[in-house]
Amino acid sequence: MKKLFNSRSSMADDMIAGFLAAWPDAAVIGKHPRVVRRRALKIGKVSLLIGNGSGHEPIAMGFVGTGLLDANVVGDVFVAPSPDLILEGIREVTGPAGAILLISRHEGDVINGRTAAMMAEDEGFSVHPLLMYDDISSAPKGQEEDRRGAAGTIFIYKILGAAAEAGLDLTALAELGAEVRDCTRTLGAALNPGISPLTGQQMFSLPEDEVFIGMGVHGEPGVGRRKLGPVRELVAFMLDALLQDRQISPGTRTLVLINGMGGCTMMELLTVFGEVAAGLAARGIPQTAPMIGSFSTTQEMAGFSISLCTPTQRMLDFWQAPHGAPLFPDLHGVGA
Amino acid sequence: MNETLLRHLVTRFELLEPVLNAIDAATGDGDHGTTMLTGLRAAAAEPDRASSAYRIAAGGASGTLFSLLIAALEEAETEPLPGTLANAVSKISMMGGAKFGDKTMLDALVPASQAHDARSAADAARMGLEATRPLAARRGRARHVEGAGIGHLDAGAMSVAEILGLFATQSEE
Repeated sequence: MKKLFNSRSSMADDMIAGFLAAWPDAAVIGKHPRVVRRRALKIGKVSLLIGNGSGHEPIAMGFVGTGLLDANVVGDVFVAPSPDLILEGIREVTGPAGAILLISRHEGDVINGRTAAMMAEDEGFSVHPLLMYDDISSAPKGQEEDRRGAAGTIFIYKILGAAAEAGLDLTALAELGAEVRDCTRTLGAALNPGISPLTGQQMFSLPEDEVFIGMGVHGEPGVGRRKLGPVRELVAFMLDALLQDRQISPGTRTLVLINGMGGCTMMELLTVFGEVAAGLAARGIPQTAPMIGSFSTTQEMAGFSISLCTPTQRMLDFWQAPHGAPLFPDLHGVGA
Repeated sequence: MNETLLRHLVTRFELLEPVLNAIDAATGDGDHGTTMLTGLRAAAAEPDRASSAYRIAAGGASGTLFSLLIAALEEAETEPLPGTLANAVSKISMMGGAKFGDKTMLDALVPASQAHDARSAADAARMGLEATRPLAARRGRARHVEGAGIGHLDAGAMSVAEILGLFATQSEE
């Protein structure tokens, strides 16, 4: 398998250089070269930031901009940035209103994020670490707090980003973030492995006619295998699992996010969405303002996830609010 | 921190890098040896601030957690080792949420922290490492893998045993 890069050690830095060259009006580099921050910080606003390993783009660097992230702290490929580096990001964008530090629940991100938040508190910053988890395959129902963060975390990024821009304070944002998390569920399926940029090797192996259900974002193998039949059957199985984990009553307006893992075509993702929308409609569940594309990726891994979120009207307004992040879709007016 | 010890650690982990990567590849992303070596080289370059140099260079969960072990070795220059390890154990469990028996670095570190000197701590860590083989991982990426690493040693526990072994040898010289 071939991959485009200059050298393994410069991958993250070369990517950041390209991003900043493309959208200099949206984002700039901070004092530390691995802190990508919004160009014009808004005085008095609560900041929203996240640190994460690179290799999953466009998340999270591509979501830096007005009405979304104030900063992204970019780690090496698949490696959580150090607490010291996340602290640099907090210092870069945080004022008296404080900051929400988003943490997608993976061991390294949790440990380093919490450590960074403690270090920032010692320096006098008000930082609320918000743990995000949505992957129903990673821990059973009733143990939601042990689950991994997956693509459904994107609902939290966008809704909190718009809410912070609208002037909500730190406590209100922390509550809203937990509320979005608690009404979101995700399940993924992988068809083919990606190649780890670190090792040059396939991240797992899978027979030609099988899919893994519940693939992790670093190529962690899933919890169950199935024969790959028509996509209708696969989606029906996944939708059943999602709705068993969290019931949605008929008539409840639902947001759907179909996330490609890097190696699925838009043709495939739209087909998946069509089956999800039909499955929801058959249950009397209306959906609106969907997001479809490859946003949280694992290199060229072929696979997708389905995320469902049941927003309040206020959450829905924030979901569709205009923003200035270069690699987040414009949902303004869509599905209205 | 003692520069000679740091140099010895770098030399030892240069040899161990592929071994640790291979053990880690069975259940994780196969970079534990590389991460350890990156961190130790940075620590050896700045012995006066070895633990923070380690943490910044290594990154990831293990960068933060192993920097607490390096800090315990720094503290051991002025107070007895098992006590400083006990301090590291409580911080590592608090941050990582793991406990003894979860197939992590703590399986080597907890018995070491209950020993009475550097040599018996190293021996206890080695026995703790061997005991990780039949265990199923309950923390980290390994717990999401089919089989949860049963039959494999834990790479983090191996690094703890190696570090404490070299520390004991060094303090006997």
